Amino acid sequence: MEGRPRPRRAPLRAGAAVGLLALAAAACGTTAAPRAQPAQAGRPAATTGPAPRQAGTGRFTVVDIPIRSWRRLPPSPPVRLEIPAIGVSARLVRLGLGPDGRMQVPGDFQAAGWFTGAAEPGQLGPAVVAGHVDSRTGPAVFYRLRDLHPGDLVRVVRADRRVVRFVVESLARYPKPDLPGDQVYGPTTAPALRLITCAGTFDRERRSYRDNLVVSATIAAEPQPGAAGR
Amino acid sequence: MLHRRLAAVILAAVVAIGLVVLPGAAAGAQDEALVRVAHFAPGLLKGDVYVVYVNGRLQLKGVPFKTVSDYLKVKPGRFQVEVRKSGQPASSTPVIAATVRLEAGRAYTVAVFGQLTSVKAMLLDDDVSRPGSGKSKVRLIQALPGDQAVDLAAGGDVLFAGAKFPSASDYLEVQAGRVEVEVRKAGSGDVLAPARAVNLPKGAVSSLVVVGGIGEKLELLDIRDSVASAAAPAGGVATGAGGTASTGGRRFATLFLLGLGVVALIGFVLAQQRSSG
Repeated sequence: MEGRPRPRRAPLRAGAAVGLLALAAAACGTTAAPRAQPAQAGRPAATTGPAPRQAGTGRFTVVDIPIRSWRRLPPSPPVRLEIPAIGVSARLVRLGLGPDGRMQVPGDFQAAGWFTGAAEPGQLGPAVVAGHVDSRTGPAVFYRLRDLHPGDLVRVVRADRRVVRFVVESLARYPKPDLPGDQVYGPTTAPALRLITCAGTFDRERRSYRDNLVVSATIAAEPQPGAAGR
Repeated sequence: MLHRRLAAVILAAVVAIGLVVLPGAAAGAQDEALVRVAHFAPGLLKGDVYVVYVNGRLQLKGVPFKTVSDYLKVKPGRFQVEVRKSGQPASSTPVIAATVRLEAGRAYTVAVFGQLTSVKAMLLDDDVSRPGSGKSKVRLIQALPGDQAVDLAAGGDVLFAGAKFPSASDYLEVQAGRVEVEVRKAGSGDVLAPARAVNLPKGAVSSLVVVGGIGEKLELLDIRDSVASAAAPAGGVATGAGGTASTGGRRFATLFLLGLGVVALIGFVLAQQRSSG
């Protein structure tokens, strides 16, 4: 730090340190076309470029990249699941693989289970949580999972007391033999959460529901503390 | 003052990218493209602030040095990328402009590389698909300004050789696990960044990035591009015992039998009337 003379008092001074920027075309057929042609509204319509694209919209949507990124969140196992929209507040047990290669399920019908073979909720990748829709006598922890809608909030409390927030993106139902591994366990580019329970008709001979309901959620955007400072 | 310092350190290089973000959260990954911004340019720490517009619309900003933004889902197509200094009106002449084509079902990184007198950005193709079973995928991004080509050795063997600035290698599929990696001068054993352990887990895709220079220490970043579940259970999940299904089932059966009874009764009464009449 010492050897680096950095102007602390005037960080936004429009220095001349960086001159040319060149967007080099790398792979994937990019056509680099360095040019200095203003293409925005506010210029006379006589510009040679395409018509001002902002015309008609007149507004910008600004998305700040979160500084408090999930990438800085150290790992910690989940202990609790809360879904306010459907009144779920349940402890999380750990689930592994059974001897038949299938995911274990919670022994307690009012608890949900976190599959330890996938990501911890809040870490990059799909975290998988399974819970029963019912017991032999009545509704269980995920009975109302089917009532969730895109946009609903899911909270996971970790062992370190920190809370990771997810937003529901979609619900999908699959016959159990056709549960698509890629949709549930496949790669994600942000922390994701899959909530799994049973659905469809109940096969009395097998004592099992025919379908699985999968709720997919993605980590919620964090508020941006740094952006407030000027 | 604190705010200013924060701004200086964290927001010194604001790279913003404007994109047409898909309304809502359509799930189908096949009809959207993913794009993110990476800041690997030590030269941008000196106080200049840039913004990037794409198609003159949305802005993404605030990527600190040595980090990547989250991926944005965008509608595939051609994007007009323009870079301006912060505070300059959108009508001003951009310092750089280019057209990029983002294709459906693919992922990209707009990576900013830099040195004091010039900053470059590259559009990198990210392969975020699942590695083979028990494997991990990794690539090398060389962001150390200058002429020094580097080798990356993993477990003593050179994994990536002769990487020049600025560049990104293809992804290699490797055995998953922890491995000691070190950055060397290309073709020689001279160590530029000492060995450190990097975890390359099953199902993960990573970018190892050589950064530094311009007063910043040379180091190797380990950035995770995507992660799949390390284990994939077979088949469905047995999460129901039928306690709520049976009630409904019984009710249906009762109604069905009741209906059958009513029909039989009516038939019987009609038959009686006919035979008596």
